[in-house]
Amino acid sequence: MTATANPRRVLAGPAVVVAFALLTVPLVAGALDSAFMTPLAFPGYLVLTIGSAVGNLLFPNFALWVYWVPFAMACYGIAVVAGIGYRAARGGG
Amino acid sequence: MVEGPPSGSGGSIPRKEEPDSGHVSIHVTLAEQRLPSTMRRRQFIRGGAAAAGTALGVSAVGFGSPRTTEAAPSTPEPSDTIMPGTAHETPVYVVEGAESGPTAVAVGGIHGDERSGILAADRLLEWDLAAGRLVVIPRANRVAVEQDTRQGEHGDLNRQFTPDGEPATELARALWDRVVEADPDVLTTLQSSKGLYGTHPDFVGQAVFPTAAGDAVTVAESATATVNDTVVPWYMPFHDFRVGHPLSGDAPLLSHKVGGDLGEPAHIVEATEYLLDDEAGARWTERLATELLAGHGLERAGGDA
Repeated sequence: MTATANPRRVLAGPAVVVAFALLTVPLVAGALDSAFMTPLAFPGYLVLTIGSAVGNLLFPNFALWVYWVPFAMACYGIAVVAGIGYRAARGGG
Repeated sequence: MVEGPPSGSGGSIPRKEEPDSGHVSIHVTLAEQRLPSTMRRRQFIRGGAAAAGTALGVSAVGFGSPRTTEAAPSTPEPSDTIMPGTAHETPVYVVEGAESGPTAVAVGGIHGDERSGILAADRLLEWDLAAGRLVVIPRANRVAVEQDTRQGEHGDLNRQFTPDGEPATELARALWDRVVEADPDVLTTLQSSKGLYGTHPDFVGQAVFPTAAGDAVTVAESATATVNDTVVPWYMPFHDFRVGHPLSGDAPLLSHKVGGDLGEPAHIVEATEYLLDDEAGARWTERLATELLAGHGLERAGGDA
């Protein structure tokens, strides 16, 4: 990221959107119907499963579906970082 | 050879069942053009998923639809019923092998909301056995199954099988009497859990709990290894089946009681509902039951597995 980086592009640029979609869409599809579960879901699978494992350890009274919310937030964070990295690699701001 | 799949008297699973899943064609046939638009969209998405998998050189290993490659289900009739004439009336099916051999009992629906176990039990009714005898009770707690709840009228059925004593409720006694009458060499209950054993501390999904009695532990270890290698996809590593602690026979669960009171091997098979739909859970459960019962000498006819 450069000093002239546009905050909107940093937080919601195309690279962020694509990275977020790659993390979430395949897993959501596989969760809705196991026939849609493919290797594309693997990154999101790791994020959700590790996150829900930690969450279930800390908050055992919560149902597991609750962890879809922090999953989405974590994926967004990862997507922003990936977007920053992508644009830095391209040398753009 | 079966004597019966789910009949009307057996009750049904309240939740809407998914249509056949797995096999996908991206070509639109005339028949498909007549499908409702939502179903066409669904097929298109599946086609895309299949194409993506093909492009990656992989396939969704555990999720193909067996119904696209299997014969249509037969319509077996129950051999008898438990608690006839009551709200708990539930059918018992007996699958006889071509030759004599060990007897296995499989129980589904001991908790009414564990649908993959119920569907898996239904699938057992379609088995052809090379040898042995399989007694299947797909909906042990019929009231709970029809209400889609874990417990039925008198609490958790699978906490009513008092060790070294009379089961606590009439339904539990009737089930136990039927199990004893079958004189099983092995018993398995087909269940499910919302989470993953060893990953989510409060849950027991994707695990087999064998009795300490007999060679159940060894068989469970072999069966889970086989299923993990052949059914569970590599991209779902936390879904590998594990072998849980041996059942000592001192808890009021059916499998405990079989191990403790009868001294016979038994297994609790727990699929997960976490990122696995009921149909896929049923297929995985059935495959695990195949391996477990084969380990105890109950072989399916060639090519049936």
